[in-house]
Amino acid sequence: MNFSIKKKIRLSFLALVFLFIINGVYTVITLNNYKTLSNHFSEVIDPSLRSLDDFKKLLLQSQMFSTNWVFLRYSQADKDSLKQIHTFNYPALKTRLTELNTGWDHQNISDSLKSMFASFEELIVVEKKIMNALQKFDDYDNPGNKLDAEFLIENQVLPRTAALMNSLSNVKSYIKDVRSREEKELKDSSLFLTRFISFLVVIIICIGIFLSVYLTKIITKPINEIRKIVIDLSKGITKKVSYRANGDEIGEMIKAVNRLSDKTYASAMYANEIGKRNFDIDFKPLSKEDVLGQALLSMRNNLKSGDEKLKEAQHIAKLGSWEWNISANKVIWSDELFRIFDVLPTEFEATYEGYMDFVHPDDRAYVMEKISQQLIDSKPFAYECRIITKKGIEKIIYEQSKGINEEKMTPMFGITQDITERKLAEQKLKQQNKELLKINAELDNFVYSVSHDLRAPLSSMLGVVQISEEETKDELILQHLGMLKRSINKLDSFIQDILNYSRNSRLEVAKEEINFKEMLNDITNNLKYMSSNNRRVELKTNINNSTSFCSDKGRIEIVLNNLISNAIRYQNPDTKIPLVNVTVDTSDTETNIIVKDNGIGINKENQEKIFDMFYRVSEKSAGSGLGLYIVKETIDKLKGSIRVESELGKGTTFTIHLPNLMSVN
Amino acid sequence: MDELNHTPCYKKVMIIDDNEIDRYIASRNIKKYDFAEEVILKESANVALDYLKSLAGTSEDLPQLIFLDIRMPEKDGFDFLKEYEMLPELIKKSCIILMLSTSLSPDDHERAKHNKYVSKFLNKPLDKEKLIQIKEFTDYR
Repeated sequence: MNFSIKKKIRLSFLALVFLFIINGVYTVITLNNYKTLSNHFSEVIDPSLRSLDDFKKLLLQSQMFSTNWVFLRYSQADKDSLKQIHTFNYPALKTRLTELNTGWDHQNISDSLKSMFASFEELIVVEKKIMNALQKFDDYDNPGNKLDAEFLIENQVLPRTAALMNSLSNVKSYIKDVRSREEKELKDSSLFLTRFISFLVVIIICIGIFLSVYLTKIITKPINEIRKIVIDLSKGITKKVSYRANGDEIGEMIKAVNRLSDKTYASAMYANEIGKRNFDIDFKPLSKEDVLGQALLSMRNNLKSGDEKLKEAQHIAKLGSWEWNISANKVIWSDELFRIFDVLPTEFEATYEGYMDFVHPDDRAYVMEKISQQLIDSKPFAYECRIITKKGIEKIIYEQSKGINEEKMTPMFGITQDITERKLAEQKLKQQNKELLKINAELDNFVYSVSHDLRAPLSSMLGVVQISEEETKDELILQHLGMLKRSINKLDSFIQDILNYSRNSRLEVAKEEINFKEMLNDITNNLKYMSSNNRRVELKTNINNSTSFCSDKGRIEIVLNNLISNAIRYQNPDTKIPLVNVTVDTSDTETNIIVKDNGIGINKENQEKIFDMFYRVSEKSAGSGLGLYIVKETIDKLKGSIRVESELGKGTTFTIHLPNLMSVN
Repeated sequence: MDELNHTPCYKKVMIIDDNEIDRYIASRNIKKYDFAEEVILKESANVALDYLKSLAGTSEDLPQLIFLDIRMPEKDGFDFLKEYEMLPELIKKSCIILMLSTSLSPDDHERAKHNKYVSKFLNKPLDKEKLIQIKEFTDYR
């Protein structure tokens, strides 16, 4: 039954046309019959009946006129009428009937007519005998003639006329029979035609109704069905048409829609799989022009490559990510995370408990506390702990999570990083640092021990020299002892300088609050007896310590000690009172220290060099040439600056600028 | 040092130093400037401690000042201070301890400063000026 709808509609209309044609042909034939029959009626049957009546009349007239010929000798009119009948009326009637006879195809009618014509002609012969016998009035008077004529009337004309009349009646009734039969036939066929037409009309109406119903069924219903599916498709719902598909256009259409639905569903399923990161599922775009399919493929490729890059990045960083759906206690691990824990994704289902089993037993309580704390306050958390992987390897991991958003009920997301190597490196670094600190401390200790061991004999020598000075009045010996003392002092300050230099370059900058007043007092106290050769130097301080100042106390002490001792050492013998003026001005961010003396001063060209290592202005200089170098180095270490202004014979001013470490963490 | 010339300031002082020359310098200067009537010289912490313990009962015989060196073999100055803490209160009350060293180590200075038995830190050698300084300091106390 694989007829297309087009064929079906065509066939149905052909059937209808065929029925119409049958109807038409039949009607035309029937009407044609009607015409023939009615022609027969008007041209043959009815004239025949009238002619037969005429024949009857003629027969009666001939009988009457021949009788009158015999018995009414004077009736010339009747005699003329009889002659008229014989010579004119009868031949005309005969001709007419013979002509009409051609319209009949009934043999018996023409036979009857022939015999009737023959009989009448015999009668005419008889009548002519009579007429001949009685032509003149005289003839009537001849009894023989008259008797013969009467005899002929009595025995010939009357019986023959009667017999003809009888034949005429027979023929007439036969024709009437034929007529009534044909009339009946006409009526019947008319009735049949009416019925036939009615029947056909009913059939045509039925076919029409059937066709409309059938076409509605096979066209409208599936089209509606398809419309719904297409609307669903436009909403993203992929359904199939359940309608049975024939081989017709609707069937093809249903198949096409189902195919579309199938392909759309397949594309959607593929997209779904991509969404689940199943990138290796086979998929072919429907055609080269399938934009969606191509887009899905390129999306798959991009996602896959992005995913691979992410995996690679995670692998390189040894960093895995996880998502913990707390209510369902399901944890999704990234590939790298499985690698960190030395398990295969197939052999381990990540859960909170599963994770806890990996955590080092000694760290479990700590980790549990961290996690439960997070669950309580929902804040981001981070911790480090040890784990023992499936292979029994101990690793250190770092966990960090953004925490959960309770309102959104989203899973907790976080990362786990294998920081074992880093931790080991850190530990190693710490160890090394510790060792370095130890070495540094040892070195420090060594430097002090060395300086002490060098200075101890010096101080002994100095003590002995001082005692010796007291014991003698010999000028030369005193002079020699003085030289010895100067050498001892020089060596001692050199040792101190080297110690300070070594400390400054090696030690970190310490930080503590500095009381300048106390510090300057200590320094001057220590320097008071620095050199018995020199006069005492008057120290004036002007300290503005409205804000606290923080820095490296030891270093500042070295700086001030050096500057003030220089002021003492290089005092101007021409001045009445050698002076040192120290001004300290502290703010929140910095301090400015000015050390001003009225000493011998430094000439301009030497001013630049005074901070150089081992530089001494003149051979008379008592120092090692390290003092100001150490001052400069120390101030550099404190991220400060020093500036010198000096005039020969007038004095020297050092301006030091140091940052306040109070505000620095 | 005129004020020291006639009557010694202290009856008895003790020097604890492993260096014989330093001991000599100290005692010589103390005597020369009449700083003390009697100078006890001890070459090590142990000997000094034993000496102090032997005088435990008699406060009059105890040294008023103790000059303590830091760097000494076997027990250094701080070791001495640790054991000194264990001595009877009488001894500790009677004695003033002065550190006498050539050490420039800030560590040593800090430790000395924070030790409640140490009154002062002095740099060697112990000369006339330092003795005057001590006199002023102890008088002030």
